[in-house]
Amino acid sequence: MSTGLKVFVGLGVVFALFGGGLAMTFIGVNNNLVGLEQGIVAQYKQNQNNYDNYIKKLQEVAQVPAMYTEDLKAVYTAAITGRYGADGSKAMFQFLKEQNPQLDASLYTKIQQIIESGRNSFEADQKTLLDKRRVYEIELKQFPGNLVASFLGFPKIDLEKYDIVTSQETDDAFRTKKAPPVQLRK
Amino acid sequence: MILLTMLIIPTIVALAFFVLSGKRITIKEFLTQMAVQVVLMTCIAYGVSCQNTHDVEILNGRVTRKVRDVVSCRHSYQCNCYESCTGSGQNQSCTTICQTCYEHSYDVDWDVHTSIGRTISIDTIDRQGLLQPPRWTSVIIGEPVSISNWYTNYIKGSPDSLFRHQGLTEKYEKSIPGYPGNIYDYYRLNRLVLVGVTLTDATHWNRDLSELNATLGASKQVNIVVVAVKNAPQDYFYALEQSWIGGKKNDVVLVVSVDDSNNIQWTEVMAWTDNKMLHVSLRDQVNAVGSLTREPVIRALSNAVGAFYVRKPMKDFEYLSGLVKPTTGQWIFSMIFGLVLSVGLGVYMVRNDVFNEEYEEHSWKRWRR
Repeated sequence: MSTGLKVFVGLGVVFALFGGGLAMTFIGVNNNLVGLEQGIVAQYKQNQNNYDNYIKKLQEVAQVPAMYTEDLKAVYTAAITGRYGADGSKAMFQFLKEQNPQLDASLYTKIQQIIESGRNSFEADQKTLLDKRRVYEIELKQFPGNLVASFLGFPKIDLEKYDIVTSQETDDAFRTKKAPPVQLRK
Repeated sequence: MILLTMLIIPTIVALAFFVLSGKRITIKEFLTQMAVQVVLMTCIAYGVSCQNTHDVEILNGRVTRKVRDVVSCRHSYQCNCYESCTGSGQNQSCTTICQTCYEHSYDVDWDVHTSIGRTISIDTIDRQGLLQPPRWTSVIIGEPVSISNWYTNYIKGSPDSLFRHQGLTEKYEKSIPGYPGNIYDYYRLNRLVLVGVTLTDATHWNRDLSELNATLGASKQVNIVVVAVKNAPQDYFYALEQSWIGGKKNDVVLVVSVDDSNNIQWTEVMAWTDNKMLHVSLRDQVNAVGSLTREPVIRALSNAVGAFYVRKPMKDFEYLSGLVKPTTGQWIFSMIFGLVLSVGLGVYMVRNDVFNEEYEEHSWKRWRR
C-alpha cells in the first residue's frame, strides 16, 4: 500500500470515527439542552406551586390562634360567670387560688415554624432554579457545545422569564449597593 | 465530547505510525489499534466519570435470620494431570491437561440475613467452615445492621454547584471531623461524632442511634448522625456542610454546639430532604431540651424524622451530570495514558505481523512482479 493511499485510508478512518463521534455529540447536546430547558420550566412551576402552598398554609394556620382566642374567651367568660355570677364577685375579701384556662403559646411556635420552613423550602427551590439555569447557560456557552447549540437554535425559551422572586428591599440594596442595618424596633 | 477529546492524541499517534511505518502496519492492524484505543479510552472516560460521582451511603435495618448454608466447595486444585502430544519429531507439541478437583464435597457458609435485603457472611474459622464461628453464634435476631451502599452523587461531581459551599473549611481545618462511615465488626457503626466534647454515655448514644436507625431505616431509608462540638460559632455548621458535601443523600445530621457544661448553644440540621419542617422542628425540639442529654434528644430525633423526613432522590440532581468533568489531574493522566497506549500499540504493530498479512502482501507483490 502506497503512502498516499495509507494517508487516504487513515484519514478516512479518523473522519469516520470523529464523524460518528460528532453525530453522537449533536444528538447528546440536543437532548441534554432540551432536558435542561424543560427542567427550568418545570422548576419554575414548582417554585410557584411551593410558594402558593406556603402562603395558603400560612393563611389557614394563622386563623387558628384567632379562633382559639375567641373560644378561650368564651370558655373563660363562662368560667368566671359560672363562678361569680353575671355581676362578678361581690365579696369583700376572697382567699382562693383560681385556675383559669391558659393561652397555648405552642400555636404561635407552630406558625413560626411554618413561616421558617416554608421560607427555607422556597429558598431551596429558588436555588435549584438558579442552579439549573447556571448549568444550562454553561452548556450553551461552553466550547464546543456552543457551536452545536447555536446550530440547533438554542435557547428555545426566554430565560429572563424564569428568574427567581426577590423583594423590593433586595432590589433596592443591589441597585444602590447599599444595605441598611436591620432595625428590630422602630 | 470528553471521550473525543481524550481520543485526539492516540488517533494522531496511530495515524502517524500507520502512515510512516511503510509496509509494517497493515490496514487491519491500524483498524485494530484504533478499536483497542477507542475501547480503552472509553473505559478511562467512564472510570473518570464514575470516580468523580462515586459516593457511599449507609443503609440501616435489622438482622432477620441467621443461616448455616451448605454451598459448593471453593477450594479447587488441579489433579489427574497427563501430557497430550500432537505431531511428531520437530513438529511435536505437548500440553499438560488437568482435571479440576475439590478439597471437600461441600463448604459451609455462616450467613446473616438482613431486612435491607443483603446477606452478610461471617468468616469461617476452619477451611471447610464446619465449625460454628463464635461471631455467628453471637448474632442476635433483630439487632441493628448497617451496610455501605454505592450510589452516584452528582453534587459531589459538580464543585461549582450552588448546593456546594465554598471557602469555609479552611477556618475550621483542624476541627472538622471525618464522616462516620466506617463499618466495623461486619455491620456495626458509630454515629456519634464528638469534637472536643466529652460524653460519659457515648457508648449508649451510639447504641440508641443504631436502634433508632434500625427502626426508621426500613420505612424512611434514613441514616441519622449526631455531631457535638464544643463552643463553636454558628458558621462551623456551614464549614462542616461544605466538608461533608451536605451529607450523603439519605443522611439527617444533627449538629449541636455545647458549652463546657454541655448546655446547648445552637443546633442545626443537615439533610437533603425537601421538607424543611424537619430542620426547623428538630432544631426547636433539641433546643428546648437545653442540654445534650441522650434520651430527650433521641426522642426528638425519632419524632421529627418520623414525622417529616422524606428522602430526596439523587435523580433530582441529574441535571448536574452534564457538568461532571475530569479534573486537571485526570486530564493529564488520560492524556499520558493515551499517548503511552498508542505509542506502545504502534511499536507492537511495527514489530509484529499480527494477522500474518505482511508476508502475504509481500509474497503477493512478489508474485505480481
